[in-house]
Amino acid sequence: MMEASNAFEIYNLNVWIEEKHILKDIDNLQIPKNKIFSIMGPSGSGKSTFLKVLNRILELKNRVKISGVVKLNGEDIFKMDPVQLRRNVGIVFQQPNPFYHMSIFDNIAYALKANGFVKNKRELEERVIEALIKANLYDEVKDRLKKPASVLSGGQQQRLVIARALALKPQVLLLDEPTSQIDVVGARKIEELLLNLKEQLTIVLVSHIPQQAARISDYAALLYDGRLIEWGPSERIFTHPQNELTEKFVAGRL
Amino acid sequence: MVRPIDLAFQKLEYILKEMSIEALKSMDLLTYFKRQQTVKDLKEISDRLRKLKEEAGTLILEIIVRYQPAATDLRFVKSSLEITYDLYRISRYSYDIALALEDANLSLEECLDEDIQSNIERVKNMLNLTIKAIVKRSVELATEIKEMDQSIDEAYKEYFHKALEFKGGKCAVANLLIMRYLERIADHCSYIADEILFIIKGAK
Amino acid sequence: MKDKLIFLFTLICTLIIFSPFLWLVLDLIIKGLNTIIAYGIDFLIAEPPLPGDGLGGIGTVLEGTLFMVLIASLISIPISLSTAVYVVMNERSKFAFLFRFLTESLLEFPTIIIGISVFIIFAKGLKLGLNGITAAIALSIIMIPYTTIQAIENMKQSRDKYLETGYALGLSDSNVIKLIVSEGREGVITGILIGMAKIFGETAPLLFTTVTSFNIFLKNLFSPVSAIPVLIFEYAFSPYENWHDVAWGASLTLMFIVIVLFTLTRFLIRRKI
Repeated sequence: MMEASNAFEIYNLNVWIEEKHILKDIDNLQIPKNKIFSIMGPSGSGKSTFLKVLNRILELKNRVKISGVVKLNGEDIFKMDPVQLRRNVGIVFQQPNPFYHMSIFDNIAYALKANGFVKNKRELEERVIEALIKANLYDEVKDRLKKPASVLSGGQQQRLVIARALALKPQVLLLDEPTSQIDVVGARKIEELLLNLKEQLTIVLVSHIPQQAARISDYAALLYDGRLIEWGPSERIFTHPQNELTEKFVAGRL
Repeated sequence: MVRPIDLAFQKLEYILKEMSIEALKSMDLLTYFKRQQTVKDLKEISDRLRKLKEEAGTLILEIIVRYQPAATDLRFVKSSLEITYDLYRISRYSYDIALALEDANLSLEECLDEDIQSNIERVKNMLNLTIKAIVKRSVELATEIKEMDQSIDEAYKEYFHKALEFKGGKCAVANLLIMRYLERIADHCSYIADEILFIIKGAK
Repeated sequence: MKDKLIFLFTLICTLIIFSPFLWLVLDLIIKGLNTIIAYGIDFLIAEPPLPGDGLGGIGTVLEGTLFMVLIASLISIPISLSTAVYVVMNERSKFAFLFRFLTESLLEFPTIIIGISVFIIFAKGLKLGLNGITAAIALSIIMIPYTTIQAIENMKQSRDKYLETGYALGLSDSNVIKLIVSEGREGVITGILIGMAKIFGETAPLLFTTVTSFNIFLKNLFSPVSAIPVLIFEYAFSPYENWHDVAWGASLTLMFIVIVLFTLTRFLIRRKI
């Protein structure tokens, strides 16, 4: 029964990059399905590294050593085909990075075509529009789908990138500080979008702003110096954390 | 490191301290009951505490909107709001006691038996401890206060049953009322103790 | 007032420094145009004249130059691109380091030595003889480091931007490489144009790999050819007045081609930024 309710389960995870121990004994962490799970921590605490382990993007770097078990729907991700895993677990980075030289439409269509996910032009169009609607961007761009992505504002670009990931219909969406480069209004729209999206998928969000994590996440975890300090329902983490470091971090004393 | 929120907390703590001193003073005035003068003084104190409570409320709203407190900070803010209300209620009950005595045209010396007198002292002592507990944020003191509250509750119950048997006149009624108000004051001390425990430990 | 004086002073200094260059360019334009106008637009297709026999064109050597640059580009572009892809995708490997080191040292290599080496190895050793292909091999060796380094730099940028994104979208290795190359394509094209501009004017290696008979058009891929810079070199030092005039016209043509290529690269680079 437990496996049905958790997207990710992490046991005894250790990560070294260039011989440096980055993630240390992250054990017994469960990321429930259809929830927003925030990973908090000061810079250098290993948040982004942790996120990149979940869809095995981290392994693209040379000289990475990973030990431990990470299960997605009860299946060990290190025994899966990474390409298949990544189609299931999308990621969005801090800096909006649409394909600037492609049109808004092609930004989303590209991976669908390259991965052979669509049979014909009509299906492609449907999937692109569906993704734009899901990412709450369609109304703003429907008249200029052929314009290059660079005409969009930062916040729109980030939603385009989210749409690009959503087009592959992933089960999990990982986001690495997705609003830190975006203006306030744009950031708020992304937060609202994430709240809507959790009905369809599981969201793991890295955030260094505790207030943002408090606003939108159902669960929160604190990483500090590569260790998992504490995790649990946001309600507890933000009102009465059990660990002193968490207390200091959420209260802005760290 | 002083965070911006800490400066606002200093203001809030200052208000709490002032309210504590005033609440204590209200009970002291009862001991030296001087009829109308005391009633008037106590009314003033309880009015002042109500204003301070409102001031604290405004400050707390400002703290929430400006600093978005979390964890201990958040619990302190929430509890401060409760504590200011408790302190105001304590001063209000002191005033009620004075009012009851004055309306019945009684002086304390006339009716007060030893029982009541010792209970007044116990509750005063309890309030003293409560104020110490607020300042020191002490788990031990808070626990002690809660134990004291239980014994006051029992004392009240005992007195109540005794009064039912008693066929005396004015004094019996006035004393029962005083006992009842003392019991309420003790309750508010105990609520404050709960809040202190909440600030320190989080979940109740 | 003081500001104006300083401005005037710097302007004069700049003019003094640049005056030899300006004079050179003006002289070239005037003399070159003289020739081209006198002979007409046929200058670009006609054969060069015999000594003392009036004006002629540079058709043969222009054809030779275009042919050699084309062949050199056909050799260089795939080599440069694949080297760049390898270096960018395997930056930490020893081979990538070696490739990069080799291309960078090739950039500093005296081109005349490249000419001699190609002459010894290809013309003599492999008996290719003196023809457009041999010359193009020499030119491609000169072109490769320019295009490769430019391609590496640009593809590195698009790699840093899109490598993780590409894989995160579930793309296969080859699709990720395609994505990175296509996102860096303007930089890659810039590199190719810079390399072409460089070899258009290259003379030293051609002295060893081409012939100095300037009056033959191409008959097949392996017929002997010559090039504009070699014609300029030979004609400028000849005692014949009419050859001097043709050399001026040829110089202007060459400069025009190189300027067009550089303008194109500037335009591409600016668009990228």
